[in-house]
Amino acid sequence: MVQASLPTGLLERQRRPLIQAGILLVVLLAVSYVIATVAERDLGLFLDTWSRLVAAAIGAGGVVASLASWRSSPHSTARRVTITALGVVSALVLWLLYLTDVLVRATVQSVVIAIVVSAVVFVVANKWFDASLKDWRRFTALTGLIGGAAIAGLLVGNRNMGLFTGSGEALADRSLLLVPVIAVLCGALGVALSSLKVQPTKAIVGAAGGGVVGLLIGAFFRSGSLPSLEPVALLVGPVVGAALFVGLARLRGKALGPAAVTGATFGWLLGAFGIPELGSGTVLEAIVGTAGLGLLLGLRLGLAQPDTMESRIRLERKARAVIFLAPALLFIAATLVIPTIRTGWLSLLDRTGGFVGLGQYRLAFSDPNFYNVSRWAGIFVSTEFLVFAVVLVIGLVTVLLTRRQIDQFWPPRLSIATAGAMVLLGVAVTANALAGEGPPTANVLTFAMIALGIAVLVMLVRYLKAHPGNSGISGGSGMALTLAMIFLGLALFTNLRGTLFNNIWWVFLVTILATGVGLAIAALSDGAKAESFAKAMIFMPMAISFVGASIIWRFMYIARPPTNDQTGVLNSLWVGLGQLANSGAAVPVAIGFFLVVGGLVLLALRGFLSGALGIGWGSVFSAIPVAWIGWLFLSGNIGGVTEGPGGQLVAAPILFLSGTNQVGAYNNFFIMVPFIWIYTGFAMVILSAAIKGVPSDLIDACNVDGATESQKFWRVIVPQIAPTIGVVITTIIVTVMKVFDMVAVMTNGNFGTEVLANAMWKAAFTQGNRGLGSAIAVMLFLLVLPIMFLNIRRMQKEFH
Amino acid sequence: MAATTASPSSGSSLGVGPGGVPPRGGKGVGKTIYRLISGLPTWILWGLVALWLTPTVSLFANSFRTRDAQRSSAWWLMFQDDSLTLENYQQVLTSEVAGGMWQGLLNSFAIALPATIVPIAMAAFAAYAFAWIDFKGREWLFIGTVSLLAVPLQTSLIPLLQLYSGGARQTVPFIDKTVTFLPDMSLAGSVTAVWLTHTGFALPLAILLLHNYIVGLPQDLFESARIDGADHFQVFLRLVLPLSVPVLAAFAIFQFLWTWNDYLIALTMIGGNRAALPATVVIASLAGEFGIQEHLLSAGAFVQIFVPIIVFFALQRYFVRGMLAGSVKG
Repeated sequence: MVQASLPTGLLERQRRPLIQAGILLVVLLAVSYVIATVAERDLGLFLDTWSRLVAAAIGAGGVVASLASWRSSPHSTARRVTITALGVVSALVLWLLYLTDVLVRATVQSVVIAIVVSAVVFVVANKWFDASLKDWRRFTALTGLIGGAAIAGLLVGNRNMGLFTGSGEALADRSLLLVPVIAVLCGALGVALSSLKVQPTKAIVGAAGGGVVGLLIGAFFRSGSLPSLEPVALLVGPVVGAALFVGLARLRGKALGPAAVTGATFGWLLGAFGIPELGSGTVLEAIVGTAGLGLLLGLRLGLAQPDTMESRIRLERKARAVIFLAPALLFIAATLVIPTIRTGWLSLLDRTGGFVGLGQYRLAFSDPNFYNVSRWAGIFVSTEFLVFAVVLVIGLVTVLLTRRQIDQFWPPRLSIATAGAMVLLGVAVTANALAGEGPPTANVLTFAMIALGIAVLVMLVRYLKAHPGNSGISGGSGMALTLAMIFLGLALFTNLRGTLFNNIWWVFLVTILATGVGLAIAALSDGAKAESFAKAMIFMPMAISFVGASIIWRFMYIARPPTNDQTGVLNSLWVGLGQLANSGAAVPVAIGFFLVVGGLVLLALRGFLSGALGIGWGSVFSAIPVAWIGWLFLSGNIGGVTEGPGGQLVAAPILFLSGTNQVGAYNNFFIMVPFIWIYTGFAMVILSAAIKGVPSDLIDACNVDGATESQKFWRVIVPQIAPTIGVVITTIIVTVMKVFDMVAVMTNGNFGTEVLANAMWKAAFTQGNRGLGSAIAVMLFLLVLPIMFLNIRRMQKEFH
Repeated sequence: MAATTASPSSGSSLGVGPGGVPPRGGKGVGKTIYRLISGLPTWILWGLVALWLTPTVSLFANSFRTRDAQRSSAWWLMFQDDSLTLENYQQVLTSEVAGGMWQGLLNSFAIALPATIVPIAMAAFAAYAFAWIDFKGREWLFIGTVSLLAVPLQTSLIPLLQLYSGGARQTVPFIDKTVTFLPDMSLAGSVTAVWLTHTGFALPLAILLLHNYIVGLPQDLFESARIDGADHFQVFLRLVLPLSVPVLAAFAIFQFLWTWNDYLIALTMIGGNRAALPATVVIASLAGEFGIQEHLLSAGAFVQIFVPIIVFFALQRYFVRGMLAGSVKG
């Protein structure tokens, strides 16, 4: 990657790009001038010289940066040409947009200003603390200057002080003059304090200097900020503050005198400006307040220990960490941490801002569109549940038969967890039978089911972790178990309805399918012909927005009236199949299907006879759906095509997004499809890289031992990439949990497809109930909390 | 497909399912079926590729067809009725009927560019500090920062919008004085509010990515520079920044695609100000009136996804690298 030696010349400034940029700037300036003249004459756009200059700088900077990256780039020529051309073109496009579009100009200006200001602040801050090591006097002078400017700037900016005309009116535009004056005074005080070493003198000079600066500040206080001092507060404040700080200093074993002054300073601030009414006092009172504050502050600085090299180094290191971290951490605090806390508080308020406790949460759960378990009994009688049971049995039998050490399959903890969950389930069912059908017992049963699922999953994951490569799960059984899980989900979520369950279903199904299909494609494409092309095509949807994907898939799902031709791909196929099944070709097609079934049965026999049970069961397993489709063809029950009264065929296209099947439960699935379409590529790319990272000697050892491809995959590669699979799953869960765009664009939550993020948006911004919106957002936060916890655990391990 | 690996040296090739067994010397029907099935993985792969491309191709094909043609026949019949036209694109980009797509594209740029540049700068400083400056509580601060990755941005939306439209004030309890931290800058409804929000939300991921890279740079490089008298600032500017160009590029692409494709933040922060809406919101509102401007929807959507797809194909390797660094190491 990077050479360990110091690259020569890296620490020297590179001057050539600067010269190039200068030349380009002049050229682009000339061109800008011509374009701007033409634009002014023909389009009526006016540009001042300053704007032309900035436009030229943008163009020149972009072109030079692109060319510089050309020189230093280690890539092949074709790639370098692409990247450089892209950079040059985008710089020129930005330049042209800057010249012609007002909005782009405003944005570029604000970004440039923001970057220049932050860069200046950053460089000044670094230079400032450089001085603390090299020249202590310069450092104190700078500190005084910056501190004074900051205090004066804050007071002027908040209209607490200013210059006045004769009649007492504030001079808004000249008041900033106070800032440099006070800054210079503070700087001088800094120099004085760092030059004096003898103690009583130093403290006296500090107190006197601070008092003078405070006096000056107080004299310019504006009438709205004058405090009406209360002698009691002014006395009690410093005393209490000093006592508090002395106590703390004793506990920490520090010097008591300076601590007392620090405490008194805070106390004075509170007593003079915190407690009294502002705006009703006199100038004299303001001067007393500020001069006292300045005096105490100066005294504290005067009492400071003389600097040593050690203290300077400590200061420099601390300050440097703060300088480097402050911008990012401040931004994170302002946009993530504080708003999240505030959302928690807002969720306890009602529409008008009154405190309602958990009322908004109760409101959410009392809405049957949000949380509805009244149809829970339907879970156990649904077709999906039946299919789940059958597939689960097939899968378990396959697992048991393909394993060598059957006795290890049910590890103690797994059986305890299962038993516990079963007991819970039994209690719930009994309670339900005793109490008759009602919401409370339905809740118990629901949570028992969910507890069962989670317990089994957790134990399974722990078991797989403890016995890597020996899980007994292989191609056929792995697919069967995954399918069983999906059908269990279908059974649960077609009967438990509402926003909350929709969200859980999204997480469940999208995570399984995107990860599973992604893993399958990663395995299939590994070493295949044109691997990178196939992977790029599958990965491409990652570049498409959720909104774009929603629109793309709406075109796939279009259902035209039955009398028209279908124009969407899926309904064309569906109706076409139905027409085929009801035509003369039905029998030959069905025969084709049954031939495939026959082949699979033969293969199954071969597998069983040669002892490859995985192949045997895998074939049996895949023969069933094929036979089912053949049967559908023979009976004509496919494609929704029925015979009308006149004997003609009438098609019934599928309403993918607005169907009424099981109160719209399946509509959710068809909104998930585009999401899976996008995130399969994500899973594939990461898992494919992980598969390529499996040590080749492991694979070689497998080949020497004569392992089959299937064994190699399930017993060596999957356990090796298990941590990566975990990362992919957590990433997808976090993304899916907050799904918003697709639901908003495709159905806007209608037809039983509401999810938490969309419900939150509607509550907060359409209905104007911010409390309810915040409550739903908090629920979303609670749902990702376990993932956050897992991430923290993982990072703790990896940080060192 | 190399699933029939007879030689052990073909190493990493794999097949799943029933296809992946070496031949066991069967004859006749069984052997034929076996050969058919062992070719299956390749066919499945190419079938999946075709399946994955169909939706995009169908959008692309429809965008060149007239309204009547789109409504009456399927897109794969596009060459039978000669209804091919560029009119949809012309209308989308120029006419106001389509909701101002051209302005929307400019707005998308005005959001995506600052939202890409600004967080990179901030995150680079922070990542350097986390990686190479020793201070108390570094580990916990880093883990705390990066764990915010999982926080759903929905929890920030309402307070942030209030901040943009009303500033930040807090009344101090007991002394009853209101402190203004930030004045009302009336940012709500502007692109600035959108890219500021994106900047904040991008920082945890950016810090994670850059930290993982910077911490892997050789330490003796910095030590020799420090011995030569360079301070942290110089080391950062002259050594770390040039050496981190690959990961900076990776994150820039990631963030550009993310902000270009964002819908939720733009919709929330801009709201009703039509002049500032980015392309995603424009096409989403076009989709809301399905039926009226139905024929323009495909062209509009294609215009919106065109830019990220170009970026994606040109810089795919950087993009993948960024994703891997974020997921596998972190």
